[in-house]
Amino acid sequence: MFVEVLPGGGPAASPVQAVAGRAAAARHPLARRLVPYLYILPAVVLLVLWTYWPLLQNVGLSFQDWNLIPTRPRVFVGTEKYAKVLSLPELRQALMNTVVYIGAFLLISVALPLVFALLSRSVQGRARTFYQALIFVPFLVTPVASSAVWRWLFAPDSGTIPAIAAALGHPMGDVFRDPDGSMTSVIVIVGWQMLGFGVLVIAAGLAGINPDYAAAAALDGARRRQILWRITVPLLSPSLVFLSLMTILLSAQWTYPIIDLVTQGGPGNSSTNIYYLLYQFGFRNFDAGLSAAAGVLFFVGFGLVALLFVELSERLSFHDN
Amino acid sequence: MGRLVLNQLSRSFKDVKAVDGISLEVQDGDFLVLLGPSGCGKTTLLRMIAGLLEPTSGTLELDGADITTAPSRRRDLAMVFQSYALYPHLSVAKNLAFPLTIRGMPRKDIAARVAQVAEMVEIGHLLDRKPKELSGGQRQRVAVARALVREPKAFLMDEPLSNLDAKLRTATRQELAALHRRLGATFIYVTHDQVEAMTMATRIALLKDGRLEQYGTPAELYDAPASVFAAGFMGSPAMNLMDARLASSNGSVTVMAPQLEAVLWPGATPERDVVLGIRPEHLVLHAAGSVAAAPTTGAALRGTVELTENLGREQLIHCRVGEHRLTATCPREQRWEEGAAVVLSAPASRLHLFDRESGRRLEWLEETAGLPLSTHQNLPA
Repeated sequence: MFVEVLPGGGPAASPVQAVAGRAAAARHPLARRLVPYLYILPAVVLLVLWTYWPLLQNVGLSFQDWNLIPTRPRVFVGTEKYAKVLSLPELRQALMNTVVYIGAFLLISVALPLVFALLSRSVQGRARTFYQALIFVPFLVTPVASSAVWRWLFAPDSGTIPAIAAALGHPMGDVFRDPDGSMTSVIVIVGWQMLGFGVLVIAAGLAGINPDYAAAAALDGARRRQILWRITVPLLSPSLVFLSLMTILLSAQWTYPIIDLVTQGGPGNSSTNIYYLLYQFGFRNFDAGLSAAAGVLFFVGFGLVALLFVELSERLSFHDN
Repeated sequence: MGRLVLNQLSRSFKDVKAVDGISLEVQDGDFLVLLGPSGCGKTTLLRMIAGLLEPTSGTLELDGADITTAPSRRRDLAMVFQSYALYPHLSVAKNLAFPLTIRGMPRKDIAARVAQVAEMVEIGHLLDRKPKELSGGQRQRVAVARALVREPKAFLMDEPLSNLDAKLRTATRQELAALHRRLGATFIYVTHDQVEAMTMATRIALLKDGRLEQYGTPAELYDAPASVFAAGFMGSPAMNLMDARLASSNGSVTVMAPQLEAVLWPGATPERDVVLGIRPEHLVLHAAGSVAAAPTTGAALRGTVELTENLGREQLIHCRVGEHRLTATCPREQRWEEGAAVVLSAPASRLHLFDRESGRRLEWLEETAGLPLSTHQNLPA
């Protein structure tokens, strides 16, 4: 007679105990299901309190006419404020300016850092860290302080930059009062600050790329330029997409304090951007509804851009292993 | 063609000599395995051959041309990386096509060649996938296929099997060896695994601390290790090594140590400190006091059984002999109790002798010029 041999020779272990344990765990199914939500509760409360509730209030405000004085009534005006915002010539100017700012910053805080980070690869060891730190430091300077310094540098009578320009035979007046120069000066100041951030992000991206890829491509016969364009840059694209997204979404915010401190959007509206305009609607002209309506429109617009980039970065994400 | 000559190739990192004056010739069609423990410089040597690292000194020739300073892309070598280095943003088909696209081959020819190679390594069904969608074994195949796609002068492989599980490694090992036979191309293969080296190589370069320890066929390395290090590195369980003294008595060459007597062959030699090596499979166990325990030539070692290990196919008997612990393999039918007094014997022809100071192998030469024993420098010609 054949007898089947069990592992270990003894009878199989009873499954009863395991079932009993499971039953105990299932005693409070509701409590168990609640636990994960309790973990995220503090974050949710803060987000609702500081972000989503004000956002909703802002949407409500955009349908009302109100001059920010608490004793004055809020009057429901429907979509009137939206119609007004869209017809304002200032808005068109501010939007155009914002697009120019974004374009300039894409160049300064994405394209230029790419070049810098790639070039700094040929600097070895500590010198590279030092070099990258040097580029990054301006990012840590508060905009107020750097604006003050740049204002001195650009001061028409005693500033260093006009003095150098004059010595070179190109005398320049007060750039901040010059309709053609004011925007450029804002771009220079903000770009100087943001460049380091871009270099940091791209250098981190480059450091995350396994050097074997470049080595493999070299053995496969690729020249340095081919390796750069066919291997390194595609592998860097998640970092580039992230940086581009940050630049597009945040450049209006980065420029805001500099505009406020250096040009106040002027002369005329030549250096303003959408956020500065929004601030002026609300807190200079005391038209809360108009400001809120503009805010809602920008929120929707930037939201769409963000969605597009998130989709793009999902497609570009590779597992580097 | 793929004949590679390394001449006094060295590479230092700051004060550390990673590769120290290595010279060897790789003939066209050889499967050379660079073998050694981690940190022995084998990967550094391979990367110098690949052109990924510049040598500090020495020269490198491929088919007669000096390629010491030639960039990687001009060397016409293909490499399989330990990480496989499959371009993660490209599909398998595009990974395979990459070396051909770079060379500007017409699209039609590329597609045909890719299909041909994919079929050769059985990855035809994976061509549309991205590397992240492949298993470890599939990635390894794609990496090999990418090397195969453009018929280079030699294939360089840096531990390509180390990321595979044991079973897949054995299967892939056989496939790589078969691939080498079919292509007849030069392979240079880095590994720390002596089994891979023994099974695949036509030649092994054994490295230690950046220096060439022995260069020869797998059989030469196993049967006649050129140094104590080579003797201890090749073979599992490792060769038994013990300090002894070489002498002559009654017209015979003898090796003596506590609990050890060995009569080698007729002759005379000045006394000398040596290391005696005996492979576990060449030791035969006898019960102490039995007739067979007193051989007239060869080595006899007296000891006690300390531990027996059942490996399934055979058993390992670990014995205490003097201050050394020796391992013998024997059939499982034999029963050896722990603590039993035994005599281990080995024929004279299976004994390996090494100079204790230099660690180099000693070979017996029939008396010619009065120097009966010479340090055998098993270095490349």
